[in-house]
Amino acid sequence: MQTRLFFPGNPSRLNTYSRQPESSLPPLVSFFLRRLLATLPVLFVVLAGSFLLLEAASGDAVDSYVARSGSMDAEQIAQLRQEWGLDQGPAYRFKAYASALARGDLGWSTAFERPVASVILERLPVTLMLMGVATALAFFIGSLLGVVAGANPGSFRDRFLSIGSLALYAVPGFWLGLVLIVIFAVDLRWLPIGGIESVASGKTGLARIADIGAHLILPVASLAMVYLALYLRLMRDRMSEIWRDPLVNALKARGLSRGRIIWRHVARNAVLPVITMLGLQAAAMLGGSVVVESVFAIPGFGRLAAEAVARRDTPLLLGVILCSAITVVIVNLLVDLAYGKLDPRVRVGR
Amino acid sequence: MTETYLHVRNLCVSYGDTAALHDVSLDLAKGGRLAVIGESGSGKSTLAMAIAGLLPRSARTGGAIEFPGFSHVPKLGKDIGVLFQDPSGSLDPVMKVGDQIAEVVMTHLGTGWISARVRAVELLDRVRIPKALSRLNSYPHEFSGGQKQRIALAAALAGNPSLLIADEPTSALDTVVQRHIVNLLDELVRDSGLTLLFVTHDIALASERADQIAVLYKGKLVEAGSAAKVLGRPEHPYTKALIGTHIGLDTPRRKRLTEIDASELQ
Repeated sequence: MQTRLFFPGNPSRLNTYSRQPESSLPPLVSFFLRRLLATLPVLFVVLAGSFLLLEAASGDAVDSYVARSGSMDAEQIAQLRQEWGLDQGPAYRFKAYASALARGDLGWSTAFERPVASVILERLPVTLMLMGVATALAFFIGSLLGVVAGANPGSFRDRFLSIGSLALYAVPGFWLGLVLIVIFAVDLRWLPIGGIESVASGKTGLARIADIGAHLILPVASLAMVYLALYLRLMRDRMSEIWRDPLVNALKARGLSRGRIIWRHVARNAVLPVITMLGLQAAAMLGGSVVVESVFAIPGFGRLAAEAVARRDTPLLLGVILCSAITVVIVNLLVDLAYGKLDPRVRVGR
Repeated sequence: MTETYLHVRNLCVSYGDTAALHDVSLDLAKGGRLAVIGESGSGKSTLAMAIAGLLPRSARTGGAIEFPGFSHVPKLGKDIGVLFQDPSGSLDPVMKVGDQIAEVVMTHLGTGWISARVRAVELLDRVRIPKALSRLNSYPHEFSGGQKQRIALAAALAGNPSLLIADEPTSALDTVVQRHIVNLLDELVRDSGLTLLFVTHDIALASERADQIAVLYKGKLVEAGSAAKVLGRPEHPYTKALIGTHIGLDTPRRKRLTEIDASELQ
């Protein structure tokens, strides 16, 4: 029975190691689900931690409510505490929150006096749009300029772009936003000063889309410009490394044109770590959007988080954190899939 | 007397203060097979790269490299093909091998995409990649080291060059695969009348396959001539010593390996 030493347990299970688990779901969907399930423990720890932090802060949702409404007597306050479940201990409330969450219920927002899910659904699209457009712009313009700089490392163009991008990266996002507002909204009056769309304009269809677009230009620009520098530098540095690779010599020996070597080979290979960075930056973009949303008075997700903390609205804050975490996980999944498509040596989902 | 393909006249190459080649002159006949041999750092790769025009920008050169048969400066890829030592380093890891060969065909023969791909299949067939058509869309990492070197060879030959420069084409491969690649090179050179310049430190290989041998030592050409003469009746002490260091399967196991003592060669 020597083999039992190496294969403990039921020998018939051995087969399952060599065979793909059979599933009725398409491989892509089951890959997505498996990755989401794997993040559940992390999500739980993050939720419990945020709950405890908010619990440790002085005051509660009722204090915040009373401070805003002004006139309430002790009896009304006690009644409100009971209504919101704040007369119970934190352990009880966390258990209640977790069991509601397991049923798909995100709870009741005391600050907005509406279900958390409906508040989030209203705010999330705005931030996703802001983040998505800013990320796409930063990535495309950044890596294009990175190719221009990296095509000839050490040249004047390279030095100009590298120093310029470093300067841009050193500028805080909110300051850039304020400068853009002063120039384009206050002095030139080309663009709206803030908000996501004109109030009560009654615009519909294309006119409304154009209106939202005009409102997004400045926040997107101030968010994208900072991250653009990151992609530019990464692309440029990776390209200057690849120029020293024996591959480039081999390609020159085949007589390929310089343009072809730059675009089809050097830039193509250099873009891979930039794609990875794209996923990692998704979380930073969410953080950056909090600041930009405050500067431009955009009713987005980042501002919602700030409001939830200020109003001691525990279910709302936990809901915001949960949705942010899921967004970051999904963005990274998409990045992994794109990476698998771009690098034949890596295949995900197998 | 056959037509001369390549004249190298008093070639000097230096990197900064370090001289890599000093006053090297040699001729290569059309259709000839020249082996450049020497130890590491003797300047043999520098000679090959200087002829190919692939020296790094920091290199300073003197002397002349002439191609009497050409009215223009020979173009890399179209007139001169180069095969390198490391097969993995010569192929782009994220591009299909068919595309890597086809892009050379398109660049030099001016064909369209489809005929370039057809030509790529022919070339892969010629370098003995089994089931070439079905491997067109495979990536380099899906091939073995020997196969990668064959593919690199196919890419080097894609523009129909008349000179093939091979810089230690078998050093990164195991002995069995080495033999396959060498046989393949031999066959292709004979079939298509290529002129071949190959750099090697393998004397056995040079003696078998080359009709001319040039021996480099410390950047100087110490001996050059027909293979039979250089290896049969070596004149320079370094050549004699180099031949003495050769070991093969028939070398007695307990024999102490011969070393070259540089002080005796001055």
